[in-house]
Amino acid sequence: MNDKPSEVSKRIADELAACGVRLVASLPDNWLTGVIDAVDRDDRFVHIPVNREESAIGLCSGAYMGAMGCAALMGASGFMTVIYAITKINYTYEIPLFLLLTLRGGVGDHHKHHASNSLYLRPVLDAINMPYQIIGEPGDISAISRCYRHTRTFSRPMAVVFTRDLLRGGRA
Amino acid sequence: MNYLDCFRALARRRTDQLVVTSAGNSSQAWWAATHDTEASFYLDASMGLSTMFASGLALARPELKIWAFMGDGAFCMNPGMLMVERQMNLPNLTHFLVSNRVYGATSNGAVLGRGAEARATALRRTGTEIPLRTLHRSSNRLRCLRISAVIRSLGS
Repeated sequence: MNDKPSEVSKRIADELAACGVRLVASLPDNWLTGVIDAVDRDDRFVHIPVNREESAIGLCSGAYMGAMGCAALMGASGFMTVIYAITKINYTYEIPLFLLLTLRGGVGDHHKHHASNSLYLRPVLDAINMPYQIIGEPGDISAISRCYRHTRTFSRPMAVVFTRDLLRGGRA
Repeated sequence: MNYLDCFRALARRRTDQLVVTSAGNSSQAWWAATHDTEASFYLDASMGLSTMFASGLALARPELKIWAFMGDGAFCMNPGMLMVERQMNLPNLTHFLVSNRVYGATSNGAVLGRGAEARATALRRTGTEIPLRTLHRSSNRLRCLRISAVIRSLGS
C-alpha cells in the first residue's frame, strides 16, 4: 500500500470522469473526505453536497433520466438509510444508480460505533439483491468503470465499497 | 375551487414543461387532470424526493422547464431539500408545494403540526423567497388546496 490517500482520491476521480460521470452528489464520511475534495476541485464534475442520502438518490435518478452521468458518495451509515428510496425508485423504474460507499465496520476500522455496519452492511446489500464490489487496493480502482457500466447495462443500482486501507492509506 | 380543479387550472397554464409528481394526491390529481404519459413522470415514492429527482433532471437538461409537485406531507419528510435546491439555483425548476394539511393518499391523516408552521420556518431559514405568489387560496371541507409557496413563479 504505497499510494498516498491524495493519489488514491485523484485516481478515483479520474476513473469516475472516464466513466462519463458529471454529477456527483455527496454526504461526507471521514474516509471519503479526500475523494469529495478531489471531486469538488475538479471542473469535470458538478459536485452537489446534499442534505441527506435520500436526496442523493433522487438527484442522481433524475439526472440519469436527463442523460447525465452521475454517482453518489456516502458512508455506510448513510446507505443504511436509503433502502426504501432505492427499492422504490431504482428498482421499480429500473433506473441505474452508482453508489460509492465506505466499508465501515470492516477490519481496520477503529470506530466502535460502526459495529452495526460491521454486522449489517453487507447482509443488507445482499438482502435487496444489490451487487457490490469491495475495492481495497489501488490496483483495483479501475473496477469502478466496470461497475458503473454494469449499472447501465442492467438498469440497476450497484455499489463500490471502499476499505479504510484504500482511502486512508496503510494498515490501521 | 377544489383540489382537482386546481390541478386542472395548472394544467391549462402548462406549455412545454416536463412534470414530476410526488407520492400521494399530486400524482393522482395530475393524472386525473391530464392523463399525460409522455411528459409527466409519476415518481410516487419516496416521499420528499420528487423535487430532488426533478432537480437532477433540470440540471441535466437546462434547456427544458421542469415542474415538480410535492405535498406538505412529503415536505415534512425532507425539508432540507430546500437547501439543496437553493444551492443548485436552477432557473428551469418550479417547485410546487401543495398544502392541504393532510396525508391525502392515506385517509386524510393530519400532517404533523398541520404543516404550516414547520414549513414556513424551514422556508425562512433557507432563505427561499416565500411566497412569491399565491395562486389560489380557498377551501372546501377536506380537500382544500393552497399553493402557499412557489419557489419559482410560473412563467419566470
